[in-house]
Amino acid sequence: MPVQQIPGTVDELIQFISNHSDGIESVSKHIAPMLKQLPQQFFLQGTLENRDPLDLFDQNLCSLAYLYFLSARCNIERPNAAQLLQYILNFLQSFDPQQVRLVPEKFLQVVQGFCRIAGLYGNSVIAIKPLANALQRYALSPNHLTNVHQYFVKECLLSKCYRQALQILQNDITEIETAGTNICYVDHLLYHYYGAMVYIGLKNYERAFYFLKLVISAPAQVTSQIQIEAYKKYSLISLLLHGKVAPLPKYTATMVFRSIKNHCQAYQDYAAAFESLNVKRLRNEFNKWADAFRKDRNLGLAKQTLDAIYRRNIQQLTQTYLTLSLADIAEAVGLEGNNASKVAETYVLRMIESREIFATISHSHQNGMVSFHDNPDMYNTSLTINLLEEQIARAAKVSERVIKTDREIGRSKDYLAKSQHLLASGGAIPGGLGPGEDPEFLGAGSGFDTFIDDGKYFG
Amino acid sequence: MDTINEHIAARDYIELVNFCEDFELQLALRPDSSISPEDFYGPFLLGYLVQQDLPSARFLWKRLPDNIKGNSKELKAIWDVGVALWQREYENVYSIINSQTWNPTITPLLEQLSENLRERMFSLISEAYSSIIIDDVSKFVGLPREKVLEIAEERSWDIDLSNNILQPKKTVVDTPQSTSLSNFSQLTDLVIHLEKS
Repeated sequence: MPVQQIPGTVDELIQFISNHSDGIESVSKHIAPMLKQLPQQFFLQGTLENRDPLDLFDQNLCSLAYLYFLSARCNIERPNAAQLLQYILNFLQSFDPQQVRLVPEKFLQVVQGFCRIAGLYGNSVIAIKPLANALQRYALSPNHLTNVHQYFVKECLLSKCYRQALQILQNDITEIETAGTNICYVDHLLYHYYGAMVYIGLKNYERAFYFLKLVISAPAQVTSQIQIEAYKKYSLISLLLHGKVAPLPKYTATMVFRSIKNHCQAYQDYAAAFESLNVKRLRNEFNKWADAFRKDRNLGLAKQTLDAIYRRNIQQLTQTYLTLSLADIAEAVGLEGNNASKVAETYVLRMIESREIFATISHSHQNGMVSFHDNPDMYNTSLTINLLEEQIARAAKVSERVIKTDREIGRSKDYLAKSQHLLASGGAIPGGLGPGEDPEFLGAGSGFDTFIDDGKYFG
Repeated sequence: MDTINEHIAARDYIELVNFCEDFELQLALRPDSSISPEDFYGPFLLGYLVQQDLPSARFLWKRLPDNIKGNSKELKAIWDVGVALWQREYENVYSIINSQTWNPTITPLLEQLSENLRERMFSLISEAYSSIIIDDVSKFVGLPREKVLEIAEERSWDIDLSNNILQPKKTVVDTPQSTSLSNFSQLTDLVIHLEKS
């Protein structure tokens, strides 16, 4: 690299940049190293004619330099909020993603500054849409995590714009590049934790459950507090969805298992009470732990389980009985009071509507009777085929992805070093593909030509 | 505001909500005093409610500035409808809607809301009940007894006046059974994939 003279004034820098702003290669080769050397203070200066550099740079062509000046200004104690806000908004709309990705930490500073100023404005709603648009351009693909993701979702939570977060959250994260992206471990945890909170707010518990599972089962040497909080929510949602706490994935770190045992006593006792399907016992446990739930901000979720236990109980009844009177149902599931059978009716009605049970209510006789049926869907329509095809397509996509990752790991330095070491000491190679072996022949790639002469398949 | 009216007239509630979400952000950035909060937030809130998106309606209510919430009786009344829906007190939904005169802009939205709810209730009743007391139906759909009997007749439900009950008929939903070329192409794709791996 040619040794460049460090510019002494902003004017010199502008001159230098305008000479080298042709294409991303030139920018990353000449401008990026130059900017890195300049002290932070430099970017707060104006030109000799006292003009604002932010007015002189083209936001798209000179995104990189612009970002340096902008982030410096975001970091100062008392910025000129209204003016800075306008600069940031324009920049987020027109930046060149390739240049910005060269310095992810600066971009993050701008985003953080933006959120802070939006907060000062008393209305963080303004940050949501520009951030969403910027994030979509900034990420390499919708499946890439960036260092900005978690801040966006957090901002959505703070400004109560839950639905607006979905455009980002609906894409599953499959790519996490750690080299040169300024992503740290916590980014992944927090993004999925906040995402789960959004889905809980919107009552999409399946998706929340999935997000929380990702957080808890993240590989870890030590347990993060985020994982513990995630487990608390996970256990309550699991009760709502499945009536019991679903077992954690096998690959969950042992440390995490241990920490959960030590830190989530309330939730484990409560879950046990729920699984017993005893309404009285659950209420007692609820009262006992209500303060803990409140402190963890999980009281709302916990309250919903108090309602869910009746539905769970009614569902149990369908396995034993064909017909029951509403009064019997009320008694069996632990509903009390004068209008217990009326309440039981509303529960049954709700469950019929949500297709949790299949039943008909009859008021031909004095007190209503309920007959339970089997699921009338015979799964013989084209709807089922469509569903099946969708799932197959997804499975195919996942398997392709697994093969790709397997290959990447198989040729990574770390893996090769470790397996060499194990081979030398006479151990077995742990899983995956061995070093130096062609993945094509190990079932990961195409097996077609390996068995075509066999005669067994095409005889 | 014209766009909002157009979306309401076209019954395109998804677009209505999308437009309002964008507009809300714009408004936060550049407050426009010529637009009264009622005219904007009323249709916005109802747009969510018509689509049964109660959580989103709730969060909109939560993020509304206090001075707007406090100053508008109409917004408060709309939210009361939302609360009744949330708590499944459907009787109240109809009674709140019918108990006051609404701004003409949002009247079609409220009508649509009760209409959707009524239709939902009718199909739920036919799904869930083999016989039901007439007055209960009346409460579920927010219509007087005579009107309920009229509709029951239209749907050829059995009416048993001596016992005061209706016997709903189950609505049979036809699911299209179709095999098309696309099924075959998907099948070939699948086979190719399996061959590959």
